Amino acid sequence: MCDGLSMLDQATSRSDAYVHADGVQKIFNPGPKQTLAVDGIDCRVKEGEFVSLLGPSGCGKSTLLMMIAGLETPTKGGVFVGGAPMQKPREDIGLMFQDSTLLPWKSSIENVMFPIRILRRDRKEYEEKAKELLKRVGLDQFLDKKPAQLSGGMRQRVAICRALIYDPDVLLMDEPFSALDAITRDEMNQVLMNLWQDFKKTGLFVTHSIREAVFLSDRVLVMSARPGTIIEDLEVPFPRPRDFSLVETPEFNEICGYLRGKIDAQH
Amino acid sequence: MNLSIISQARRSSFPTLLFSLLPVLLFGTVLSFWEFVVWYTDYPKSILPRPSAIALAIFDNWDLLTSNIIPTASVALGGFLIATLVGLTLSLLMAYSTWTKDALYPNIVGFQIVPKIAWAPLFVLWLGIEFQSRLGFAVFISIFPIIISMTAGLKNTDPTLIRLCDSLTATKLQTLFLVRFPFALPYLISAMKMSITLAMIGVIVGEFITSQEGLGFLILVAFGKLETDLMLASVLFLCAVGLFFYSIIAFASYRLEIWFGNKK
Ligand SMILES: Nc1ncnc2c1ncn2[C@@H]1O[C@H](COP(=O)(O)OP(=O)(O)O)[C@@H](O)[C@H]1O
Ligand SMILES: [Mg+2]
Repeated sequence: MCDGLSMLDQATSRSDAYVHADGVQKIFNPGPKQTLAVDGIDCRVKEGEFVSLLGPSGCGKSTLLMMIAGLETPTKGGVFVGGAPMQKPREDIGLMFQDSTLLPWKSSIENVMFPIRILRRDRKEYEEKAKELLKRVGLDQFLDKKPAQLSGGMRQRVAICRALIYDPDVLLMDEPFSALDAITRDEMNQVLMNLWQDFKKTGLFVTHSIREAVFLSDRVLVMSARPGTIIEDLEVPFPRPRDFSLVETPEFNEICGYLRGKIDAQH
Repeated sequence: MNLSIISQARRSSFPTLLFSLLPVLLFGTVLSFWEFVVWYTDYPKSILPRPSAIALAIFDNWDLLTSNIIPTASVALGGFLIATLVGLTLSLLMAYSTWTKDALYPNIVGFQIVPKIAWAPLFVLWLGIEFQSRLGFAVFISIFPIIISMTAGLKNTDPTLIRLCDSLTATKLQTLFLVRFPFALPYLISAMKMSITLAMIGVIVGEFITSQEGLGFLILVAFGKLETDLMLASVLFLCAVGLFFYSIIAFASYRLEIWFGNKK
């Protein structure tokens, strides 16, 4: 009976979790001086869902993301994306980092086209799409500008376009807006919200900002200090598309306050 | 508000002019002082000729000097180009294959520590007294900065960018040529600046040992005849050749900055 239930449970979760980190553990430099970065993490993201990961710095958020991207191998447990186990990086997963990591000698449009070049896809087919994407994030006047001539916010916009151009199903974002000033960051949240409305990807978003997490996400996960485990899993009920004025509402702030309490309780 | 900007502009333009003139002024002052002291003390010309005597020597020996530029400059340039090409290839190979790097790099670093000038006579022994020995020695002496600097540059690529490439399923070769190599170009340029100077030194040392041509040879001939003014004139010509090569590389470095979008 019990067994049957848990099997049923597993079966349903496997079918509706598009991204599934299944009891993953990561030990860096195994040995006497090892670092247990994350331990026993179970993290599921449904198809088309946007989930944020909140947690103190050094708790293993990036490590978890890198394992999901197939760039690090878990020492225990497994990662499944789209039902298939992750063993090495795959082109159905896109990444964004805190730094835009643009190539300084390439223009915006060339930077957006970079994945197409790496993946050896047909250039012509994607050139229009690249322009379209850059226009979509308000950079149509900056197609030929190099990163040095763009502001931090513009560079991250280019990086978003670069992550979307080759049409991955999953987008993993590691504090993509943390290095931006507050106003630009709010702008970027709205830009990402609007893009999400059109592209309907599955998203996992790491951040330190509770407000950003609540505004962007369908669900917020809170991680404990290292070794990281997930200590809170909260649905965010607001309908989409969301407008940034949402952050002024009492309901929004109530959720933020609740999460703040969960995070503070660890110290 | 506007007024203060104008006065600021006025204030800053004068020092800028002064700063660009400063080295010229200093140079001129030293030359005049030199000229004056040698003239006043009647110092022997064979030990320290006056600047005006050197200028005269350049004038008198113009054909001799200019005809000796080519042998020196061409061998130095050739050695430098070979060193750059071979050094670059080796560093790319080492960046691509850890195995090659593990075997090669410690040896290169070890060799780098050895005083390389000491090898010059051996090159003459092995490659003869024609230009080949000077070319070989110039390559030998100028290749190390290229390899060492380029290897450092290729290693220094932003690790997050490498992660991005990995996540895009880039091959090792794609990451090397599309990302790591362009990022290392500033390292290459600064190594080339060092390398061309070393190639010049290599050729001159080679000429001191055996050559029958070149500016280094001319220095030795003038030395034998105690024609100090001609010696200094030859040195001056060497400086000009070095400066010429250096400015070409400096121009390349400037173009690179533009390519990187750092300058408009
Ligand atoms: N490549 C690595 N080698 C060794 N230790 C690492 C490595 N990457 C991360 N760590 C360690 O693992 C822990 C979690 O790091 P990270 O995932 O970057 O945290 P976060 O992204 O939450 O700030 C930290 O203590 C960090 O020092
Ligand atoms: Mg991190």
